[in-house]
Amino acid sequence: MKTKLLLLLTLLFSFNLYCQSDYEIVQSFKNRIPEIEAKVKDAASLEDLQNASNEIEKLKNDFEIHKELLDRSLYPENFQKVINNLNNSVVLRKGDFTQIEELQTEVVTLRSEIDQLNKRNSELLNQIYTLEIQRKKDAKTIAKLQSLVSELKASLTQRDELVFAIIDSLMPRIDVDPNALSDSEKQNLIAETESKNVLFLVKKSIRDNNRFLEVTTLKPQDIEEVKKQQDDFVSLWQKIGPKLADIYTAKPEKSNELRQIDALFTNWKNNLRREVWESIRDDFSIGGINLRRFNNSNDFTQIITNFIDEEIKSFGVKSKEESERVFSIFTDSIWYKTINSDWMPYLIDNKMITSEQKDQIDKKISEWKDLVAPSYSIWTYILSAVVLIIIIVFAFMKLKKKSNNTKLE
Amino acid sequence: MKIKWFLLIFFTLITGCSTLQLTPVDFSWPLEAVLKIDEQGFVKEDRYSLKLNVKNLLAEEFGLATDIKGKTIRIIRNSSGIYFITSEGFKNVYLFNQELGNLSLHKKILVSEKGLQNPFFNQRDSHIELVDGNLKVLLSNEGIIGDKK
Repeated sequence: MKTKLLLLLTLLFSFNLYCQSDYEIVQSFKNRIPEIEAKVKDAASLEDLQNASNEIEKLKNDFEIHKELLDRSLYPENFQKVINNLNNSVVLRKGDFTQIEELQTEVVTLRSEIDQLNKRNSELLNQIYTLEIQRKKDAKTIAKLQSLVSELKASLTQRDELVFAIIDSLMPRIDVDPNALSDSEKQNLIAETESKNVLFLVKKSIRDNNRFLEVTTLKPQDIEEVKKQQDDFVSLWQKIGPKLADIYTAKPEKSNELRQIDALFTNWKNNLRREVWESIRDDFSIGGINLRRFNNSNDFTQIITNFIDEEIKSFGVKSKEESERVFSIFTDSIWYKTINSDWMPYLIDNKMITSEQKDQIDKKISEWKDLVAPSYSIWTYILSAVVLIIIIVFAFMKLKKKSNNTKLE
Repeated sequence: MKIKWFLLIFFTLITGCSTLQLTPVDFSWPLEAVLKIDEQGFVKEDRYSLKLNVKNLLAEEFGLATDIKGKTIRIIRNSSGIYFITSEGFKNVYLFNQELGNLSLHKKILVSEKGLQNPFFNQRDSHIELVDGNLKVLLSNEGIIGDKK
């Protein structure tokens, strides 16, 4: 009886099995693959991934019975290969979550360090500003100022590195084609960007760097460091900024914030260029030569050549000593000592001045030198020596003649 | 003597003219293809690189005035290389043989007087199974095997 029942059930099952369309079976298997793939891709947590994993197991169990049909129909894939691919995608995605969890822990630490550094930087900026606006600076004040500036510079760099680390932590999620991201992935990314306060940190960082340029007078080597830091920051932002802009298209206030960041970067770049010209002008000012403000190479060349022209014109009008003193300060103490040796390579390397403009200034200085401190050729010295010898010989002969006459008398 | 010479020459010629054949060959598709007919009457099967025009087939089944737009056909090939084609509304299953540059009708099998409603083919060993609701038949190159169920 039991055997008969079993046989009947087997026959019924076989009948049902054979009444199914093979095509429909394969299609239904194929249709479930992208659904599971989407679940793996859109998983927002390890729990979601576990659900996707369970679905893969269910798919395997549901279709194991049609393995032979699927093996023949899924060419060039086969049943087991499809299941393995799905399982591998879960493993890969799990890796993302592990990495993200580690980065999130790291970010919490970074945020706290950044907050401390931001506070410290504000204090330093205020102290430097107070010292900078003092009209008279004694040696002690200058030393303190220099020490504060280097402390602030180090602190800003340290803080920026932490901000870089936070931006880097977004990279695994954001370094993909934004069009390839699903809506839920975009939402997750927006939530992550906001929880890490990335836009605020970037803005704060650029603003502090701008303020640093405003309150300090920098040497060429400092400027080089700031330039490098700026280039690194810009390059990192170029990787993330446009992608964030794509993701934030539906959020006008955030898009606006991104535009502000772009404007701040432009401002920072302009400020750095302005700072170079300001620092050059300060070097002249420290030497006692006060020049009009210049913000570009044309103005700089024009103002320097005008200054020299004025000095040339006034040569002979004012005392010779005064003309020579100004010439000496300008050339020996400022131009050749600082500008030509320290600033000029930076200006030329960064295409802030052309070699023609530099030649124009050198030519003018040379013209000034010929007037104030003319150089004589070797023939001039030989001629002078010959004349001197002749005078001495004449004088000697005259003295000798006079001496002989005295003896005869 | 003459007969002997005649037989010798005859068999020599027969042997020399016979074409080279490779056997056995299994042409079977594991799965039917469900193909949508385009406006010009073409269907295309990517896996087997098959493209054919089925306008004449539809005209044969439904008459010349039939609207082909949006229709689908179901096609499968058995192990001996015969193509089995049918579709929703068809009364027949058409068996085609592949020839140079065309498919020629090998057999037309009447399977439903009312017309098939939701037919599908399955590859079953050396036969093709046609199922449509309660109708279930096994088809060979020559027609229906056994009785309709």
